[in-house]
Amino acid sequence: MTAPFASAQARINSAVMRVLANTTVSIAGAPAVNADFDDGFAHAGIGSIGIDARRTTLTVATSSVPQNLDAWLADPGNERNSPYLDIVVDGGAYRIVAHQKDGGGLSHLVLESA
Amino acid sequence: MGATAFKTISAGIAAALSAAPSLASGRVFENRQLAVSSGSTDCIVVRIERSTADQSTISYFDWTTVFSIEIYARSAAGTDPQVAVDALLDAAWLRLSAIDAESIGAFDVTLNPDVQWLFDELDSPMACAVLRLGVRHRTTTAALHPA
Repeated sequence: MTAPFASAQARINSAVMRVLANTTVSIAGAPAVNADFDDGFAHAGIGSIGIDARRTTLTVATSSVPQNLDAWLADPGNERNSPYLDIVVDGGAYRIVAHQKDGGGLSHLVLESA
Repeated sequence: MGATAFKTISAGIAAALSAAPSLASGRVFENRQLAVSSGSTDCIVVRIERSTADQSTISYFDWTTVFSIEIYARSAAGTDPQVAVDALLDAAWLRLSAIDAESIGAFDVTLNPDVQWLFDELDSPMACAVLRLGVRHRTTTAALHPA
């Protein structure tokens, strides 16, 4: 039996992703799921002036993240795992480089331009 | 009235890095304060840090001016950012070590054997390598122009 709080959390996350998602993606060949794609400005503070860049993340329900994703990310043979880590979002090619769970049922996938 | 010795030497160092074929596709700046723009893959900044002098004769100051040379580069996703900055660092070192002191209005240019690497990662891995250059030059005590 699902705990009441977990059940409520799952319903809220499902509603959040249904209402706020701005795209759909397929992760590692799985069926497409709702996702919130954020590609906003960010600044890397290295050196005295730093480098302007973008922080590219994809927020999805943790339940829609393949169970093997963390293992693929931890494997030093990233090139070997590229079929699983490469992802297309709104026509752009990216690679998943980190998986950050918020602990509340949502996952932030950190992307880099492929 | 011309430029001070400090500005003249700074421009000379930047010119050495910009000489054809220019490093970083010509993105060599003096004392830049704005970040490397989103559309740039690499960039070099020549930054004057500090000048101190000793009075070697009654009429002249012998200055030591320190410049930092900041070399910025992005690399491809999933790659070691040191690789991205490595070729540019190597090329910059060659250019700086070949500077003829007299041609930039100095009497000695010393490329310090000291490299600092800094890294970050956003939509791609990024690196900055920093070199330091010590330049000895002379002005009169009355003016800051090369003597």
